[in-house]
Amino acid sequence: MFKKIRTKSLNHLIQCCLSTLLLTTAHCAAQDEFFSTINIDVPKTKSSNYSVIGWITQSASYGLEQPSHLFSRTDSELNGLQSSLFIQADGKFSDELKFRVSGKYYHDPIYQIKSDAPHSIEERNQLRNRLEIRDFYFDYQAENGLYFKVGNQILAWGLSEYIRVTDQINVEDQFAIAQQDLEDLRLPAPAALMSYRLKDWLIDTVVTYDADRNQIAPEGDEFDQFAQLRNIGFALNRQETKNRSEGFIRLSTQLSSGDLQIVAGEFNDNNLSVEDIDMRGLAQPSLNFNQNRMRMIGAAANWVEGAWLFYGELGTHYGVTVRPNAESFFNQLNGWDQKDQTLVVAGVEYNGFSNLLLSLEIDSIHTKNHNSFMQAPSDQISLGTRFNWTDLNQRLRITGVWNKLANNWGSVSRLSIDYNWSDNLDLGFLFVGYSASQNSVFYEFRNNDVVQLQMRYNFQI
Amino acid sequence: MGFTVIFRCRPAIFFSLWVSLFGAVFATSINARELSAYDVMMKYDNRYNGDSSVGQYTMVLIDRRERQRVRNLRIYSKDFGEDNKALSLFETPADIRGTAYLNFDWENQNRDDDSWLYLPALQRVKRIASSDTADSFLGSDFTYADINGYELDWYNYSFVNESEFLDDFEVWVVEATPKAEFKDKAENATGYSKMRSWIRKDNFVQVRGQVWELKGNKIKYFNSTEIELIDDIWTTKRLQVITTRNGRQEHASVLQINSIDYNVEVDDSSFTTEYMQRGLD
Repeated sequence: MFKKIRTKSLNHLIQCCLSTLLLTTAHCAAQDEFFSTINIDVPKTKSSNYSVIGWITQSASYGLEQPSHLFSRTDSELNGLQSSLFIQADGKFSDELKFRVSGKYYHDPIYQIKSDAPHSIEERNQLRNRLEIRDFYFDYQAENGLYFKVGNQILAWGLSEYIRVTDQINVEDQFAIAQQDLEDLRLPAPAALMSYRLKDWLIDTVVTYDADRNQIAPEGDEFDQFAQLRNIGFALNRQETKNRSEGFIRLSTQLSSGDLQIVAGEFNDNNLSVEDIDMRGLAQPSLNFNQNRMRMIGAAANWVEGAWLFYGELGTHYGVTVRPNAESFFNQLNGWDQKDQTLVVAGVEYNGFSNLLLSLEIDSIHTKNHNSFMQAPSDQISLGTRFNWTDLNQRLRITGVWNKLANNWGSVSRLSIDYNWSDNLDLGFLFVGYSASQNSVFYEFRNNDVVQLQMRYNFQI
Repeated sequence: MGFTVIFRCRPAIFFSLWVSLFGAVFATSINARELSAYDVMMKYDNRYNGDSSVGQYTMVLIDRRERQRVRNLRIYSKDFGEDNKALSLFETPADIRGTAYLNFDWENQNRDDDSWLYLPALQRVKRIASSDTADSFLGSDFTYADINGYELDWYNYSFVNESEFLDDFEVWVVEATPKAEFKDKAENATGYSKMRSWIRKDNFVQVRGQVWELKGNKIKYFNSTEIELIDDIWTTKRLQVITTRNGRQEHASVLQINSIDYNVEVDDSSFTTEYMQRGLD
């Protein structure tokens, strides 16, 4: 019995040793395999003074709910079949002098396909078919350290993601709120930038001319911000901006584990506000809109602490026009009141989990000398939170954003899933959901929830 | 450790670990047999690899279906005393062209690296928290820690094999495990539980590496080929890494130097956040 067991044990031991040996050999073989050279042809690139890149995008959007009768679309249905072409050319005349030209063309034939939903002429011409000149600038690096960049350009300052404290140079694409691709959020402004580094400080001065205003949806579109006023019967006129130039200055530096920037500027509000209401003897009273002139001073800073990135922004806007409440709206014949506002942003990002970035931002706007005619209260607090998760070596990216608007006006939720099929092809899914309370300026957009599928072909010449 | 270990060497990004001055190596190899595992890694770390460099690289990312994605990038690196600054600029593909990564690697061990990322779509330079370092560098099998390096003194070293031959070259095989007092810090920074390096005895160039990830039962295998003497500096022109999970290949990256110049004039202004935004020249 004992012998048998022993024999059995010996056999077992031998088998174990053999197995171990085999496993070890297999492991070594596998290991050697992973050390062996991968047979691929690594493509080599040639440096050139010029390059052209671009992408063609095709998207299909479906409106999940029924917007009100104020808009062209009133059913839950397909609401976009947009094709777009973006091209960007870079080049240099010398090591010091370079240029960039880019543009994007949009075409959306949905108004032809959905003929039962009559789209306005403005929708067709301003939104569904449009060409945008994006970057169009020259930049020059002088030997004395001065740097110039002149032309249509984007200069994104500040750190906040949800409100604009010091980031005032460029206007926004608000055709479809919260649905834009990241690169389309800001629109370029005609500007001249001059930069100079003085020891540890970088000094940027910017002058813009005719920078325009935020691009908003035209009449009939489901994000038409003036739909209610049009419905009441007012004529809406946009006045010429009196002062077309704007000026900004920024001082920025890097500190140990953090960055600091101080910004000041005088500029036109990127939003339109009522300059006056003309009701004299006209069959159709008119609201005259303009961009209010305002000034700003502020600072933005960030610092890292382990897995945490903290950031904040603080600023004062002088002479901001404030929207009156519904009762007072038509009483302010000489235009909306102007107030000073203090804006505070506090944000944090955490990346302690692998491939996951979490962020939270709380924003506050305090209006000085508040009065009862204003629609918004003296203190408004909003927040935004976001997660960004990547996998499959960043082929897959999932981003979720929830932005709770101030004053219980509602919220915007956004979920995007992007898959990088190859260097040339990206596939995307987007959901944007809107909720808004009845007293909110966004109330008419509450039924604009949308899902979108997108395919993008990238190319480089 | 493996190939990813750059320790405090200046990060000529990825490749600082591959380079070594031949002359210095010749002197040290005489006493090679007397070196401890720590000495080997110290000498590996202390190799001279130029005061500055400008390199043109191609990185190929290969998934388990063998689909390839190709990134071309240019890397500038410069020593500032004992500190190092490095800037990586991506040239292709179109959707990430203009992406830039700037890193300041401080000699002071108590000071975390300063890092920034510029994404053209965001149009802003974004500071990166230091613990991002264990994450993938723009989709590759390299982590930011692989690029930036980590501290030599965080680890204990032992020989796995004091003499082994790879392609006719005698190598040491050294294993590094975090010291107890630095375990959390080392693991957070790298995402690795232990690292193994194959160091050539003739020139202290690392020819193989193996790292064990803390999560997912993953092991990465590094391999260098096309080792050449360029401007008197040993340079690995081709570096590959294969990530495996449970013994199966999951993903791979190949990094090829198309050209590199050492000790060239690189303006200090190249290592500023504003330069990241000004793009490719």
